[in-house]
Amino acid sequence: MGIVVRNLSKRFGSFQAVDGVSFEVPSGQLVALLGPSGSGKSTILRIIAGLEPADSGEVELTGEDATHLPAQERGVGFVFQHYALFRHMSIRQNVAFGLEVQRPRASRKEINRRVEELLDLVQLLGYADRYPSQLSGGQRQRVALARALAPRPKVLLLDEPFGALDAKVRDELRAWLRKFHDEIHVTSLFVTHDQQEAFEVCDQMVVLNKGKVEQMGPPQELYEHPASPFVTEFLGAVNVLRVETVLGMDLVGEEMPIPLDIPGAGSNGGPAVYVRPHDFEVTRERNGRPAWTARVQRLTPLGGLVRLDLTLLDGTVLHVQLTRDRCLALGLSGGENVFVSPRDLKVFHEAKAFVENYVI
Amino acid sequence: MAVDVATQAPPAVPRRPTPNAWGRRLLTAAVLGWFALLILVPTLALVRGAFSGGLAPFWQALSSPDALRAFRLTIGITLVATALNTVFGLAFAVVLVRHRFWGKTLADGLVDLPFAVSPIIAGLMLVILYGPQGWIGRWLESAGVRVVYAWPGMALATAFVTLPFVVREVVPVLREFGVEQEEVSYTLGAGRWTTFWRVTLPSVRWGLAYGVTLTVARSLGEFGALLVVSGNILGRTQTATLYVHDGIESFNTEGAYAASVLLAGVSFVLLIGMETLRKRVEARERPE
Repeated sequence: MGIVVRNLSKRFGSFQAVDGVSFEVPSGQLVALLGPSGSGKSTILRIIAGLEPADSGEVELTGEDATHLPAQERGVGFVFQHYALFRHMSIRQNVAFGLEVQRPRASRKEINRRVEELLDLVQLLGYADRYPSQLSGGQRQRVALARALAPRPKVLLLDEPFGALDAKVRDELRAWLRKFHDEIHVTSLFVTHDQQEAFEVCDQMVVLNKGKVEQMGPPQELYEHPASPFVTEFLGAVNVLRVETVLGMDLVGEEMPIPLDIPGAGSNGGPAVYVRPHDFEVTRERNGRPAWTARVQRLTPLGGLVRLDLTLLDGTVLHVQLTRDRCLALGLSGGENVFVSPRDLKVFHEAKAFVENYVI
Repeated sequence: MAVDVATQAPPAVPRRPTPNAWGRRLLTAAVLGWFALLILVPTLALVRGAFSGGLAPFWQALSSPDALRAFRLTIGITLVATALNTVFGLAFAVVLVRHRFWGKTLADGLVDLPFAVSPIIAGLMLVILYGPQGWIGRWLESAGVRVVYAWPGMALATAFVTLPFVVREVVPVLREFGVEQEEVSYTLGAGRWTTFWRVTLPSVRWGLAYGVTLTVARSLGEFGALLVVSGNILGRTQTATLYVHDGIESFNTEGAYAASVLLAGVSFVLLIGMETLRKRVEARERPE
């Protein structure tokens, strides 16, 4: 195992930042710590790096207990959101720093060779003698990465590494990082609040909420089988419907989409039903499936997709995503009535934290 | 009466007054005039006074044994005071920015005390404390250590008066610098000491250098506190500024002028040199 975290807790004053967190990062994998701000993800990363002491819990790095080791002896590479490059040093000096402070210290020749190798790896060989202020944001972050990797760390920790970059550079650097990781295979844990980023980059994700682990696993699995309403809502846009709305579907003799005996069905505060925007079918005519009658409030073209804002008869607002082609085929425009039916429903039984998928 | 809004002419956009060129020129002239009146003209008068007899009397005045001794003492005191304030000022700044402790706000405010109280009062405080009858002075005297009316007291007085410079220059730079670069340094394997020398200190070096320069400039010119603490003993505790003071009192104006020009000149060159160097290096290390 690359990184093992057991029962980690950390409190800042009256704020419980991390609350009994346990997870593992298999060697060579790239894992995302995903959560909203204040979910404790950066604190966990800092505890693993030894920059912050934990109140309780254990940290293991490549099989060895590191709970009480100082940051200097943990062998972690750390990359900050704002790069934290040494401004008074050239790029070459920045990358060499970690090698120069190692004991025993490698020879000048060896250090130079390693620095060149790393600058080549991050495609910045021609920039060795520049200063950080002379590089772009994306280049600076690559220098930060090279600097972190120079002393051959056991694990690489990245704290919102793309957060300070503008959208285009961010996308490029994400793809680059994924490719880069496939080449060097260093165990990596990176913190992000952006689920899109996590999906794009990581092998596995750990979703955090209020200092606790909500769920972990491969991104697609979490997306398709979220374990809680939080994960469902956090991993992408979703429509939250009341059970009454679902049961009030215009059934016209069809089969019920979901059993009527859902616990709490029909009462206020009962379980909520979740449907992703792309899990709807929109038709002009009834096609025999259970469906709602809905009015098109607004059409928003989003490149290859079109977002529909629909209102049901009971006032519920649905956000639906169709492909541009499907929308053109339907010839939709605002103010019209259509029929809409969900393809996939998720119902959470709060007490049991149990999810059921109803594929209609 | 209903008014058709659409057919109404849009309200005229209030025209900005044309920039008043004369007003601007007047302000510039006033500022420059005040500057000239306050700084430039007196400086020129001083320089003119010093060189009124040509270069030879100027050198003569500066190379008199009394003047030489006075300057030697001033340099010595400046070195000691600057060394003290560089080390402790830096430590003080680090503690103020990084540490949390009881009474921090009070300490932060008290740093500026030497600026707020008259140097004469600072000198008096030292005499009370370290004088032959003072609380500490009594003990030191019996151990054969003389503080007041000797150079240690003068260095101490100068250090007191110039204490805020390094602290005040380093604190904002250190605050802006943050802790992330240090944290990166730790994760790369560098210990606290290495990190301080190779990461923290180079990052605050311009703030520190500016603080040190101001400390040196002010130490060279300190007078009030020294007047009280030194006893102004000719040839023993007479500094350059006290020499100027005596020169004026005893109508040795040539010596006073020459010493003044030299003191002011050194301070001026120090500040200009610092500023030029800083601009050149900072251009490449600018954060964004």
